[in-house]
Amino acid sequence: MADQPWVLQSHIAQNNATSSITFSSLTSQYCTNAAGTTTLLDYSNAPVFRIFFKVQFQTSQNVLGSSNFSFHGNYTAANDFVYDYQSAQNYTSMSPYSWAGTSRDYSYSTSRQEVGYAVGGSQFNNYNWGTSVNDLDGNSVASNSRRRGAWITGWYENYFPNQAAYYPWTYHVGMVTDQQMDNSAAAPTADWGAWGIGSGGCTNGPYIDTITITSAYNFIGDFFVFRGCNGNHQVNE
Amino acid sequence: MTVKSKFYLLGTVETNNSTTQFLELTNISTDYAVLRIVFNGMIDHSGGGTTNVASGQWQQGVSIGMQGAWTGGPNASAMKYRNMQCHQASNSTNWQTAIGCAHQSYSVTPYGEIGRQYYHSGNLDGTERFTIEGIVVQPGNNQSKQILWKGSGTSPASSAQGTSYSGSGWTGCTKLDAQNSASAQRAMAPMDSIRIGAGWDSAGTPKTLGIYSSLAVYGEGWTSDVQTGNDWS
Repeated sequence: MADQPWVLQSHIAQNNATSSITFSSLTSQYCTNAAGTTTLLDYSNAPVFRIFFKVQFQTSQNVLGSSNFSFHGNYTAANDFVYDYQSAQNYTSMSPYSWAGTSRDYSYSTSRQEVGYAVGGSQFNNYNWGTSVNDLDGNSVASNSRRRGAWITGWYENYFPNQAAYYPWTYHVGMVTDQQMDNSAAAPTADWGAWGIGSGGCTNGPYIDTITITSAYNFIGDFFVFRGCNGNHQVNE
Repeated sequence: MTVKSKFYLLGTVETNNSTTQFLELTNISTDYAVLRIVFNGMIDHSGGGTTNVASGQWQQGVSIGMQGAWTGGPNASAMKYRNMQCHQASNSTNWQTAIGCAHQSYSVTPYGEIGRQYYHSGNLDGTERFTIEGIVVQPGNNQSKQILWKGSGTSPASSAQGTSYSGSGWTGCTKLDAQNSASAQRAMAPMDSIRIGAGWDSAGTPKTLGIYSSLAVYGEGWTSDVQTGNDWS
């Protein structure tokens, strides 16, 4: 197999509800090329941190609050961030093919990297309006199964080659739901889903060998950390 | 748990004319941690295909089909989509969001859609081209699948006309309805196919993709921990 510059470093399969997950020791692990040569995944050798995830919040809340879904690197304070979003938080209507956005909806703060206004709960009262169905294997799947709940997809990324500078997180999160999250019977409503695009950094220090994703509401999901290297240090497996 | 650094281009297809309505990749391996879907190209609004699009109007973006749920596809009966699309336009101070698709009156639609853009007959080919990419996390598990889109285009400013109506960015989500009895089974099935099309005008006439429009799917990473079977709770 050829060598290439990307590494899937870690997967957290969070199948039991929790309020926090943490990736640790991200810059002290190694990747290996086809010749067996190892490379330390430190900031210089692997400057790209790319996190992909899917998550469900085990709550009926349609608005979680900005700080109630957040993440941070080594420092829990002094994380400057800003993000644009649209969700039930701002009460902007979402209707079948009627474009709406009443104002620039954004949130800014200096604590952790927050994206709570870009997501919503996955157990809203009407989400399981369907009936049981059989999956392709013949298993009966109830309408309120977590397999059929509202999943949120997320993408966090930065590039930090150990400069004497802040690292630039960018993030991109979204969900579309099978029903309005506020029990509305008809459009328009803001509760068909949520999305957010943002960025941030940390003035306490640009170090992210430990990354924590946390929420005030318990969640389940899959979380991956990929690393982009400054050379073809990893054999394609 | 074991992870592997497994990265492959799983398929790619490209138009060699201006009369193609859809680009399609099927039988995609879902044995990856993440699938990345990349479309690069344009909708040929100029009438190169069968379109009758008038100059000076906002136009919907590309149509999206997944998991074989499209007309003539293996799972056509599951064409019950939930779609959220968002765009930032220069004639507005804010991002805007819509549910569903153009020319559809309800939130459950027969396809997804993203990439609203302003068409003017004076546009240049190059300024109408755009790129969107989507990710699907755990494409082979037993849960409902969702594509998260991001992209940017389009600057229809070959002349003074239309300059107030440029678009600068898009995001959104597309999935099969996981509650609807017609689509719930397929929504939980593997994310094994994708079809990107040029959409339809308000009269229902198919539009076509411009020449050298392309669709590619990449598999990124592998994990031993994939939820299968029935609910794990």
